[in-house]
Amino acid sequence: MVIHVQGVGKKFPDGKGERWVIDDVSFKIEPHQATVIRGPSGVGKTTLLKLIAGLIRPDKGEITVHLKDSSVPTSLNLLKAGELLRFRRDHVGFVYQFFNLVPTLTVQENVLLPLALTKREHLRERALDRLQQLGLSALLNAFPAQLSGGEQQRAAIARAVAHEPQFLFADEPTGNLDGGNSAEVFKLLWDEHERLGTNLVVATHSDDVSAYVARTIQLT
Amino acid sequence: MIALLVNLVLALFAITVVHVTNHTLVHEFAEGQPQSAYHYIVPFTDNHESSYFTFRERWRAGDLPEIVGVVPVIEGNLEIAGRAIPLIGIDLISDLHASFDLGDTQPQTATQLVTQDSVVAFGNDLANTSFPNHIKVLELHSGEQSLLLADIATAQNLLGRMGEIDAAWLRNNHEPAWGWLEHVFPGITSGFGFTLPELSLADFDIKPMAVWQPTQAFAGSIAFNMGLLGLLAVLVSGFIVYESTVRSIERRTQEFNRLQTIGVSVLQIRSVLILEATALVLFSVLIAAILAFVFLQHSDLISKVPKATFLVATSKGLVLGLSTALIGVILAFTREVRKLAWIVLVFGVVLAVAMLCFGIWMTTTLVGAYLAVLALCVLHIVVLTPTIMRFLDALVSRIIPKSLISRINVRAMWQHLKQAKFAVVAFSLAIATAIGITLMVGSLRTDFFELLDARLPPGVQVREASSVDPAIIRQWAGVEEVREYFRGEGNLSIGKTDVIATSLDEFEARRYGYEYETDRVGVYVNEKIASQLQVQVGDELELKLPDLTPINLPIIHIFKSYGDVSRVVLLPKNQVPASLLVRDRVLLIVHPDSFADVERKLQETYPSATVLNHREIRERAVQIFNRTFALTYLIALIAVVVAVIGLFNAALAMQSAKSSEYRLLNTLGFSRLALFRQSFTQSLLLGVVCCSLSVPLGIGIAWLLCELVNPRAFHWTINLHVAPMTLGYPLLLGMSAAAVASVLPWFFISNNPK
Ligand SMILES: Nc1ncnc2c1ncn2[C@@H]1O[C@H](COP(=O)(O)OP(=O)(O)OP(=O)(O)O)[C@@H](O)[C@H]1O
Ligand SMILES: [Mg+2]
Repeated sequence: MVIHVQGVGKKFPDGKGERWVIDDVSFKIEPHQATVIRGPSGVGKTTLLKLIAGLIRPDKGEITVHLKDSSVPTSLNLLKAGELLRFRRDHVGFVYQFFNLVPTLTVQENVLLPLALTKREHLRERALDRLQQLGLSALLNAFPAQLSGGEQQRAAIARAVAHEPQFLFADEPTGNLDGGNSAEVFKLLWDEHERLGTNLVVATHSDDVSAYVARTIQLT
Repeated sequence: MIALLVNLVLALFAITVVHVTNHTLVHEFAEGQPQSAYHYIVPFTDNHESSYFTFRERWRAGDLPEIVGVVPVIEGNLEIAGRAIPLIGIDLISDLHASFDLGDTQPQTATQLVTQDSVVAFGNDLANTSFPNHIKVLELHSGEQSLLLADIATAQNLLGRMGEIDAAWLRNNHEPAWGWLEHVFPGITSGFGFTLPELSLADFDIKPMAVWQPTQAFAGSIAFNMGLLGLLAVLVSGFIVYESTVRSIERRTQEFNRLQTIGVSVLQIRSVLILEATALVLFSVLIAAILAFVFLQHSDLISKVPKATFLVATSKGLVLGLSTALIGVILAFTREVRKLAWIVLVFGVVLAVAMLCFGIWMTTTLVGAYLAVLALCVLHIVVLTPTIMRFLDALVSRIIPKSLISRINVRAMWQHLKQAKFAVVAFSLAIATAIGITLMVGSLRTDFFELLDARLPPGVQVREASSVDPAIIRQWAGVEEVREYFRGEGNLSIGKTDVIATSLDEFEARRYGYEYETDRVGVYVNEKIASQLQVQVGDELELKLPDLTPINLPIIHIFKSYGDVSRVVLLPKNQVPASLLVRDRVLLIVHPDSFADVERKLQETYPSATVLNHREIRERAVQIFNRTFALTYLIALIAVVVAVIGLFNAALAMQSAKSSEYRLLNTLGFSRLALFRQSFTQSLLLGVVCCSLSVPLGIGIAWLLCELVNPRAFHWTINLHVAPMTLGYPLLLGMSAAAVASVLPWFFISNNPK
């Protein structure tokens, strides 16, 4: 449950040449820690989250994660494509700013999708209870398009944690929500982090999150 | 902008290619023979030059004002490498205005033919033949049938028949009123049922040029099919141009709103858009023309790209592209036009039903048949498709697959289908037309082959058999049966008919597909007579022989004769005075072992007669038919490809929504392969729905083509066979096309997940 980022860099094609968006970033996130990544727009917050979630690979440096039930740390750099995919599927929950739900599935089906993919059907009852606690019980059979922005983000959190992953990542999860909804979303993320004992990493501009997190990584 | 340009270019490309291919092939069918420029033939029974001169004098004196060109002809066979090859000699200078279709022949060839005593050879199978020294071959052309063409003097010489002329070919000035339409939609007018007026001149027998020739006989039908498909390609292309214009304007709504808030009027925006669209269409026409030209040059669809036709095709694309794009620009701002009021809808449905009933039952005209086809398509679009869609909607919301992945697939497919409604309708129309036409041609093929099997039992046919003595042949070893056919001409209330007299016994009944009954005496008529006289089996046929002997006999059988352009009556031999008829044909049934012997003996004994082997006649007919059959498939393919562009457009438009979904699924642990599989499954489902929508309409169109259009245009009937194999081809085509069209955008998205 430890994330160790050592000298990581990522470059993207930029016009004719290439540009290092992230260059030589290092940090370590301890078990059960809640962390916020901050920085001005375009600095590479999303890119960093994607790197540690195994969605993209670094161009230099190494990212290692230490999973709960394994004795040795795993280097994400060394995983094959399929293994990285399984790491992401089994151990990561991800909340984006928008479009977190499959539009052709109902709220309930969306939440059950990670369980089907990870074959963790035994978590079904808990996942459905969580939906109730999040005040979505009336919307179980609604399709995402019928939900408000706040409801969508709550459902997204329920989906992200349904399979009880060890890492919970959120990229501007409150970017398009008003103050009240925004604070509520952070609280929910925090609650789930507490209850499941996951690592929580949030990238955001918002200050609402400060009340909860222990540690800030500032990108410049 | 790029997407719009690509669509325009593709649509215009399709129009050009289909038009040029159609025009060239139709032309090839219609004019593959030297006589195709002529409409009538006047045989001279005494084969003497003087008959021709008499005829020509009377024509020059002003008899037969309809005729604008006359050419004398001699026909015969030359023995070359052990085979009898037909030779036609025509006087190339007596009708200089005729456009002899000599393939790619240069103008100077005609002069060389006259001055150098040489021949032009046609026929793929003559390519490796060594010609005897006295026959100088000037040029060799490809062709289905072997044929030699020479100047009349050369031919008379080669045949050893100096001073003889067999016939004159006459050219009519008759150009049907819809002739111009042929340039716009090549092939389509073959279905308009054009018949030549009957001409008569005392002492001469003027007949329409109607050689028994499968190429000629089916040319009309096939050309018409290609015309229909070409029309469809144009419609669908127009639809695509319209849709993509409207969609590209919709995408810029925000920009226009902003312009409007700073005081730019709708009129100004519209004029700018019109200018833009015009420039874009002009540019696309240019690119499409270049692409089409390169494509046609390098594909083996046609051997040479005719410049004039290509220009016509390009202008057609230009006119269509401009008009539909401009309609798109104008309608884009008045979106309500698209929503039909239900009153209009009901009115449309009632009108369509009325048109269908009228076309089928209340009229026997060809226009009625086309109205019925049109009405069927309208009903498909406004009634059947929405009903099936509603039914499917209920089904999809009720059926919940157990696996969540399948749920996504079914619902995504359904969403796709609803959003791409217009494209789906256009696509299903294209598939339905392809199904209709392939089924019709497939059925015609089945019927035609059955007819060939019955009509051409294993044996030998002797034509121009007046000198043949059956009594002698009957003695030859291996000859099992000898049958005689006497030919003459008669008059029906509607005009002339060919009359064939023979013994209408069990053997002949089998050849003509009649269930023989010993004690029934009567005549057989072909379908052309039945349809023009509106008679049925059991009705009495009133026929007058040349000496005005009336013959009144019941019709006991109506037979199919796909090859015949003329009316034909089959009479029992004993009902006709022998003096009125000449022995025209003799048919021999020969034991397989003695075939070669008998054939050789026939050639030796009767050198002036033409000996034809049934097997060879059949093979040639089958070969030609199969070629046209393959062409139908090809043209169907082109039509479907055009429709696919529409579907592809629709799929592309949904790309942005899809890309977010793919990003999400990728985060959840779907691999690229899994995403592709999912996208593919959805596309396949879409294909299944589209194709199932088009099957009923396709069969309906096939039925109308067989039951109404063919009998009314060509006076023959076709029994509709819905063979799974024939149905399978367009369906498979449609399925794969739909799948490709909706999977392709996936590559754009997956390579660039947001
Ligand atoms: N796939 C990509 N290809 C090219 N450039 C990219 C790609 N992804 C990100 N970038 C570039 O990398 C830089 C960092 O992007 P990133 O999305 O990580 O920033 P961010 O800190 O999340 O910004 P914001 O606060 O606006 O979300 C940007 O300049 C962006 O243009
Ligand atoms: Mg970001």
